[in-house]
This record gives sequence, structure tokens and C-alpha cells, in this order.
Amino acid sequence: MAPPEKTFPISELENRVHLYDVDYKEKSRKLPKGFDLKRDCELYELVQYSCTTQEEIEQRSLLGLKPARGGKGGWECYSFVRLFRRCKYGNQEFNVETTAWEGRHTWKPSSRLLEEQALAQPAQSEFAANGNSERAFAKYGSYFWSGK
Amino acid sequence: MSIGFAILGALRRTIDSGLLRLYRYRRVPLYFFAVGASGSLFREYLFTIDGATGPSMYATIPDAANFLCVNRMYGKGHGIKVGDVVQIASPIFPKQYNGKRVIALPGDYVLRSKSYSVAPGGAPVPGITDWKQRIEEEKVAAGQAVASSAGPVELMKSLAEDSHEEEEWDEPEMIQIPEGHVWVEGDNLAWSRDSRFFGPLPMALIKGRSSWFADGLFSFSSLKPGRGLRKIEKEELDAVLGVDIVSEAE
Repeated sequence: MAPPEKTFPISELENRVHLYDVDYKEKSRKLPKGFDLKRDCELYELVQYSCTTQEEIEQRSLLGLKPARGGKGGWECYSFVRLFRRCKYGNQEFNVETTAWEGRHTWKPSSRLLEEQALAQPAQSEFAANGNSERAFAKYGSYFWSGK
Repeated sequence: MSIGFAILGALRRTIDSGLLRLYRYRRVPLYFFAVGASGSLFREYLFTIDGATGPSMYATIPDAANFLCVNRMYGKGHGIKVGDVVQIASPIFPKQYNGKRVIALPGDYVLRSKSYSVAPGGAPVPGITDWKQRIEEEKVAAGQAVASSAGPVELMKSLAEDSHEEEEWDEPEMIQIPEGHVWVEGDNLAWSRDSRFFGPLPMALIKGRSSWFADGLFSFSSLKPGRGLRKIEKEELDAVLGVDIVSEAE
């Protein structure tokens, strides 16, 4: 079986690019200072396809509609372009998929999410300013025993 | 003397008899074995030609009635690059082989989409993700059943809501491929059971690189590595990364 997956949200991509695994231990790639994915890496594209799904075929047959036009067996295929960045440093290279990071299908945080973050931030700062007895106690403890 | 001639005559007769004549062909089974063994070696370590069916690579490779030539020298992932079409032993079904495309190598980063997802990253793509709307439109065009029941005002309202709806979707997740594994996905994203389903694939399950396919007797097509990833030159950058021309015009 495959080892546990290390997933991370796409907003952390630029930081994550600096890390890689050797014997399942995280190490730094030691990339040059001011490394920029967009500037230092070459862009590649890969064309894949997305055909009429099973769900759509079922819905169409239930509603008595004609199968999707064209294609074989009522399939209609659309191309989907995936973007990749190939970074070379020294004699090593690595690829980063940037489909949702740049280009047409870029993910942007929704307005709702940004509002939530904006609401959350002042609350945090207040908490830090006022202090908390429990937190102070924990701080006092960490003077003797480090967090690690 | 006469006894000596008799012995010689008997010897000659035995040599001419069938039993000893067979002795000349004693190596024939060995030849058969050698041909079979070298054929097996060729099939196992150089090239395998076999029939292939299934929709997971459709549009690149036909889903029925075609033959694949697999280069076994790339077995266990030796010399595999991103964009190669490989033949893998399925990690979920014993004795089954699948053709898939390598999306990422150890240490690379890919989008972790859900299995059978139609578009990587979950972005709304015209044509791919708006099929429900398309069905609704076809329903209206076919029988006007919806239009009569909902009324023109409500229909206009729903249309207006659709057009003003902000294109928002959940934050896509990415994954870094562990050592000794690859990420494979079929070209037909909606019909492929691949790494999005079973996670990173151990490189030992790669049987070879599919180099040619034949969908007829004399219609061979190449699947060479250059066909997978295409490098984008500086002049094309704006066209590829730029905003969708259709959405801009609207």
C-alpha cells in the first residue's frame, strides 16, 4: 500500500516547494535565494480530456433526452489543459503542477473566506493583548520545559 | 572373416533402422525450448504487444479494438518522465493491467483531486462542469415543460441568478509524491480509476512505457514522450496564462 499522503492547501505551495523527502525525512532543497516559481521554472502544458460522465448519461436516459452530441456511444469530450513548471537546480529537477495556481483555472479565496479571516484576525489580537491566565501559566511552564 | 562381415552388416542395419536415425534429431526439442525461451525473454524484457480495451485513456488511445506495444525496458519506472504513457499492474485488481499517464515523479507536486473528478482543481470549466445547466436547457428546448410550470418571470429570475453567481470553489489540495512512487492519471478524467482513487503508485508496479498503439492493421500511432508535455515558449506565455478570451468578451 501507498504511504500516508502528505497533502497541503494550494496557498502553501510556494513554501512547500523548498522541501523534499529523503528516507521519509523532510529536508530543504537548498534553492537559491529569492527563488521564484514563475521566473525560474519553465512552463509546460499537458492536454487531457473530460468526457460525458456516467451521471450525465444516466440523467439523460432518465429524462429521455438525446445522448450528448458527437463522440462514440454518446460521449462528448472536452480538452483540459494542465500546467506544469519544471524547475532545474544543479543536477536535480522537480515538477510542480500549477493548474490551480496560475492561468485560467487559478483558485482565488472566495469573498466569504476573506471576510471570515478578517473577522478572525482582530479577535486573535485582542486575545493576545488581554492575555489569559491559563496561557500565562503555560508560558511559565514552558520556561522550564520547552514545547518540544 | 565371414563372422566379421556379419557383424559389420548387422551394425549397418541397426544404424539404418529408425531408432538410431532419431539420434540425429536429438537436439530438436532443445531448439524448440530455445525459441520459446527467447520469445519469453523478448516479451518480458524488451517489447510486449497485447490487446488493450477500456475507456480510461480515451481520446488518446481508442477504448476498443486496439493493440499496444509496451517497451519493457522502462520496467519498474527506469527512465520514466512526466507525460509518459505507462502500463501498470493494477494495485486494486489482481492480474489486471492498466494504461495511464505519469503526472508526477517522486518529490513532485500535483493537485489531489477526488476520484473521477472531471476537472483537476475543481475549477468550473465551461462544457465540462456545467452539464446540469445544459440538460436543463435541452429540456426546455425539447418540451417546454419547465417553462410552462415555472412561468417566464421565475425563469428569468433563475437565469439572472445563474449569471450573477460568483465562481467560487473549495481550496484545492496538493500532494507531494513520496519516494519510490509516481502519480498516474488516465487521459479520460471522468472515466479513469487511477491515483486519485488509490493514491501514489509504487514504481515497482510499472511494467513498461507504451510506445505505440495500433487501432487497425496498418495504422500505428506513436506515444513517444514528446507527445505528453509540451514546452511553452516565451511568446506563448501570455496566450496560455492569460484570461479566457470567451469570458472576457462576455
